[in-house]
Amino acid sequence: MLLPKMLRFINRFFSGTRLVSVLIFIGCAVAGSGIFAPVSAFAGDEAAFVEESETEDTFTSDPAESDTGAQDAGEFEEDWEASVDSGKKAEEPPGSAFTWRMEAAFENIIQTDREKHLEDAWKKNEVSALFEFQYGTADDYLFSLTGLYFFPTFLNDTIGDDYQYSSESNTCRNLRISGESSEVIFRELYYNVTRKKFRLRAGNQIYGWGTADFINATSYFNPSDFRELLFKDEDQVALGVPSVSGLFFLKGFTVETVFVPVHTASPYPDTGNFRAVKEVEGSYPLIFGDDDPMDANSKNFGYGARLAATREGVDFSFSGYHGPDHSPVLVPFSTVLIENQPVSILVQPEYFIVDYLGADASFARGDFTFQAEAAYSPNKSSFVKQDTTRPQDLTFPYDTEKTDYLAYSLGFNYFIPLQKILPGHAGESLFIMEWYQAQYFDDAVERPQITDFLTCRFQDTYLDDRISLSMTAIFETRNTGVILWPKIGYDFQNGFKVEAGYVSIDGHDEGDYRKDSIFSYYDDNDFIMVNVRYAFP
Amino acid sequence: MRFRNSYMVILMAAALGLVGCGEKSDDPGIFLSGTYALGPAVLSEDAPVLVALVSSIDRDALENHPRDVVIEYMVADRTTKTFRMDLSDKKISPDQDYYLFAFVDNKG
Repeated sequence: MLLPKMLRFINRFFSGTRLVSVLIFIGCAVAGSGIFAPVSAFAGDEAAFVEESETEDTFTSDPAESDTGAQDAGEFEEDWEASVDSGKKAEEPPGSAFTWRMEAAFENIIQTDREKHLEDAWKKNEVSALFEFQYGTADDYLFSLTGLYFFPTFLNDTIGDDYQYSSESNTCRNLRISGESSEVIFRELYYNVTRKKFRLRAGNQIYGWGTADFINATSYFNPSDFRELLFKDEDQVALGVPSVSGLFFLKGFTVETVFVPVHTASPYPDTGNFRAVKEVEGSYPLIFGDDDPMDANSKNFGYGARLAATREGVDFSFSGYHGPDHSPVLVPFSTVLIENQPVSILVQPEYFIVDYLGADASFARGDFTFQAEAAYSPNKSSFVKQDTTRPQDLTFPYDTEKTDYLAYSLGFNYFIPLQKILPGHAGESLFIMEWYQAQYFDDAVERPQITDFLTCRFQDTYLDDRISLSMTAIFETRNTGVILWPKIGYDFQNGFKVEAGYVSIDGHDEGDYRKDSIFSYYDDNDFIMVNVRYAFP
Repeated sequence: MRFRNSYMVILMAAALGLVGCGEKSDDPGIFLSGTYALGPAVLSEDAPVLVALVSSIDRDALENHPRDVVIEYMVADRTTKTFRMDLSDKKISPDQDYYLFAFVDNKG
């Protein structure tokens, strides 16, 4: 087969320091003058997006289409729109247009452990570049959003010793190419064809189904990147899946259908990684197995459909899915005997076929926007509980069982009219609150690890949007845990932005994993993040 | 592309100020190491040798509440017939008795 050979070649090629050289080369190429034209450089480019907006506007009576349009633009949506608004509406160019943007970032994570030397506490030191390009006409185009990441080990190879992208060189089915110290992610790479009544896409795609701000119960398709837990930019958590989708614009509603021919696994922190769970109950050291996807065969195809409409100001949708579950069951699989190491438990991420039915809704009332989302499965898998107080009686691997499952989220956004309290305040003040709960109906199986989360965020901007402030609090109410995450940023408004944040993690821990907060596994992982970003154009 | 060095200096200063990390810790931790010899009952030289440190040798406690009495449970190095146990975070107390035993997992 040619494809596996190509993947192996790409895998070898991008492994290790060779990728760094490639990145530097690409960086030099982009930094060089005018090899490609940025999006704002050509009126034709803007026209392409004006045209796209108008195409989408044809269906703006339908909120689902609006959602999908937002999804299309990804994280640069606002900037695209700004670019469109600021330019004059030009005629559509007769030929194809090539537009691009990039954002480079230098990100640092420093553990706040005063006992540690700075080099030991400096857990992550990453250079990244996100490239977005689009080539074609407004209706027929190739779109790509690609992230390049590496640790500048040629500057200091002692920083970030216990942080790696992957324990070994690996090429995933969604073209996430990882090595220990570098990674390329083709987050989105698809070809789009839009006609009056439909839109087709083929390639790596991200599906932004659902209305929740933080955890989407109806996000069935895309694997989540859990290597940074929750502390990654929200638009970089979902990873694309190779798929074919069709969005059909019908009278008063839209239907989106998705077909995913091969399963893609969610990446988890490798054993020994700064973010990896080290042990549970203070007695069971953990080793995580490879996050292998399900076999590529017709039994593991994924199918889904979503019907979306607006009635009386309420945006709502219904969705269904059959295929591999996007989140694995972390099955205690066996004991691991490694010389000079404690006896450990191998935790193996395993995926199962699942069916989901879901629905979501949102509507605005005054300064509030309310959101609700739920998904039900009659056959979601989990592992069957065992009594961990008697290690000698544990049987490996743990059994798994299918059971009914329900997950839902309820929340609202409040656009605070702060200018009424602070005259002259021009920034947008927003308060977000969301409650998420997930539950298996069978008590014999282990409960979901991510459940009973109350997430609150306040965010605001000051001084003509130069200073941004946010405060995020995540409360785990079942076993009592809290994450506090204040963040401040300064936008130089010349492309550069500096951000600093502090993450405090605290969770109840009494040595019984059924009573321990999931946050307790990360109690010692409080950290500071300092990031510098540069967006161009 | 121009980048003002002063921004980087301010940024790094802020980062270092926020971290306030101390000097490298002088605490070497607590380790228990030793050697072992295999008796004639061992069926295979390749069978893993497990070493456990416990706070009690009461049979009932070991059988029914092992997590209360087993402090560390590790795999010895078969090549050198040694073991080295990291007890740094195990709340070892100087006024408590501890017991060390090893056994061979012939099924391993």
